[in-house]
Amino acid sequence: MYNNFRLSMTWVHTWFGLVLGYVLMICFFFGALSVFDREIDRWAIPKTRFEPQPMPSFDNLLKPVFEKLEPHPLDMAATAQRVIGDLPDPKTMPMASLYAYTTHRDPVLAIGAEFSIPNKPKDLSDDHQHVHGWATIDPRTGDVIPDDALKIGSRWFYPMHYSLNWHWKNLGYWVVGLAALVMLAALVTGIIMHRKIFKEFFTFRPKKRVQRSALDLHNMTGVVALPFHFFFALTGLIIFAGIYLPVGHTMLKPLHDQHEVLESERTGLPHEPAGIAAPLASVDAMVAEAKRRWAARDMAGEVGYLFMDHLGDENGYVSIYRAGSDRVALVGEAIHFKASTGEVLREEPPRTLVSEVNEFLTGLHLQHFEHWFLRWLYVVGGLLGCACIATGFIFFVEKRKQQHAKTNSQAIRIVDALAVTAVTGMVIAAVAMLVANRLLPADLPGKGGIEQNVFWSSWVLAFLHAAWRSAPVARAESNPAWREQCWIIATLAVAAVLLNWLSTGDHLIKTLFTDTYLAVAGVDLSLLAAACLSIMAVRKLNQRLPVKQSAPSLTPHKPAIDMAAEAAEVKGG
Amino acid sequence: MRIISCCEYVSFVEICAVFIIANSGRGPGILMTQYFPIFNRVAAALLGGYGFTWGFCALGIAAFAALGVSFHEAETGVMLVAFLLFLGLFLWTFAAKSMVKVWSVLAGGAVLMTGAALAIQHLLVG
Repeated sequence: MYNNFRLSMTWVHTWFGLVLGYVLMICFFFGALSVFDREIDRWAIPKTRFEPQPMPSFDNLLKPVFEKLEPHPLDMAATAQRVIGDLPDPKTMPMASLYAYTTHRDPVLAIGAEFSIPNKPKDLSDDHQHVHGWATIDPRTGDVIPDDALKIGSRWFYPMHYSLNWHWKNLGYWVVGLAALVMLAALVTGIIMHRKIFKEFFTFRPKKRVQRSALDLHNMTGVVALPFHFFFALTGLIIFAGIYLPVGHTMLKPLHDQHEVLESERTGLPHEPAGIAAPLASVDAMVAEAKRRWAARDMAGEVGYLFMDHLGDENGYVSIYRAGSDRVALVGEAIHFKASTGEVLREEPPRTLVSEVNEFLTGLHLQHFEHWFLRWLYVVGGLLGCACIATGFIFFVEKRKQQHAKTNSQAIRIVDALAVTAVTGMVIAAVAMLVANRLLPADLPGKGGIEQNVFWSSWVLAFLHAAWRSAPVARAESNPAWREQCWIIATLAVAAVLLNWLSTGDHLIKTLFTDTYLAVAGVDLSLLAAACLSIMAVRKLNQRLPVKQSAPSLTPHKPAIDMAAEAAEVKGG
Repeated sequence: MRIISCCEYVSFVEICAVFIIANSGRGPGILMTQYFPIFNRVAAALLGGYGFTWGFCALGIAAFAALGVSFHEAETGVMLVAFLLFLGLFLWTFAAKSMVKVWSVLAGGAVLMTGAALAIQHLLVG
């Protein structure tokens, strides 16, 4: 682009980094929170604050629960738009397949089913002839957790991390995918820009001008966590490769389908129902047999995922997958049984090298395994990413604002206001959502929807505030919104902890010592840590602020760094 | 705290508008000549890079399938390297001297490899 290679790479780093940096900030922050998504769920839904449970007995507990499960109204509405004619009464739809899923961190059990419909699809290539139903249950009793109770960790913060909760045409996934590609490019171009990479590893001059120390910190956080950031951006892309490069579902679908048929001939798992009714043998006996076979392979374990297809049909089968809490690779070691007799149809053979590599890489990203120390390291890595991006924004603004002040340009205000929105504004949105969660009564209809509205509207308010306060930036001073939003974070975070105490009686002395429940204690402590960091950031900002003469550029750096760190700190666990 | 008038907020909205008008007011012609090289690079890096990567994946999967590798196995293997390839193409687009060369490699490669993949599929599925 330029005649000089390094200049070209610098351009890519600066401009792609700036534009997609706002998205990357979201990915890193909510990724860090997702590490403890199940724990945030416990905090947000107090009636699920009990110990993780194993997969319950199917014959005694799950069977009657599934008999009561019906198609979900949301999917009824979505399906009605896809097919010709009216859908039948949901109560009469036959259940075709079902699943139950749990992990070593889940007290509750996620269940779901597909219900067959007679309607023809409007689009002939649409071969999905089902309506879905789903629920979350208490596996000790089979009681259903109300659908209005949003799992803020696993159903809001976690999808935020990979889809921005923007589902229209999957656009959120594509924006995040582009951001991940740009993250990889920013890491490579960052190395090219800075020759003295080893030296920069150890360089941090906090007393220098904001521009200098922001750059030091940007380089340091970028280099220290470089393998971490590269790995997560790349494996994130690989995990969603089916969305980003859907070659096999589109152009090569004929080849794919041919393979599917050959595959089901080879594995003996029926692709279609036989049309002959058949009873269901004891699933508990199949589970016992699966566990026996795992133990015989020297990998005794619990059931993580239970799946049944062609229910009530002669061709019905039951697949039992092992919970992968003791290994990195996301593998099920599935054993498949004939539903009507309980005989083993198939035991998955040892994996090939390619799938082993793939399952190891994606497993290391998704970390379903049990390793609390590594889990916290992930949080730290995510926060370092936030610090790296936030300091990148600050460096961008600091480098230009003197010049812009001289020429009376206002453009830098936009960048700064967006940076405030992406750093402190994002934390405000997340914590405000938790505050709303504790203020609204648990049985309020549509509670989850209100919480989502609080999340978005507080984020928009944070942007309006940052924009309204941004005038000093054009005079090469700092935006007071940084400080003010730090105060808002501190207030909201403390309020969330107090409201948790008032609404549930779970204060920190109880959750830490007398009646230990670390999931809730961890979220509370993280909120308090976020509050402390915010206040420290404000103090640092104020120290730098009222210098008489020419120290305008000394202001906004430190806060943002703390901000980013503390931003990520809100995670919980 | 000093009370800041709404003017400051309004002026923020204004600067966004002014920024757009100032750049578009000069007419689309000037805008194109000034920014065309950048648009061209970005389009080549993203669209060209994506097209080339798509062709690479399609050809890779089809070729492995033709060699007897299972479809999903081939797909998984190809996807492991696809994004590293995309990254390389993306950076090369900005480093390259000649945009003619960039576009011919990216677009040409995309078309050739996609065509080859379809041909192999046609042979295999019939």
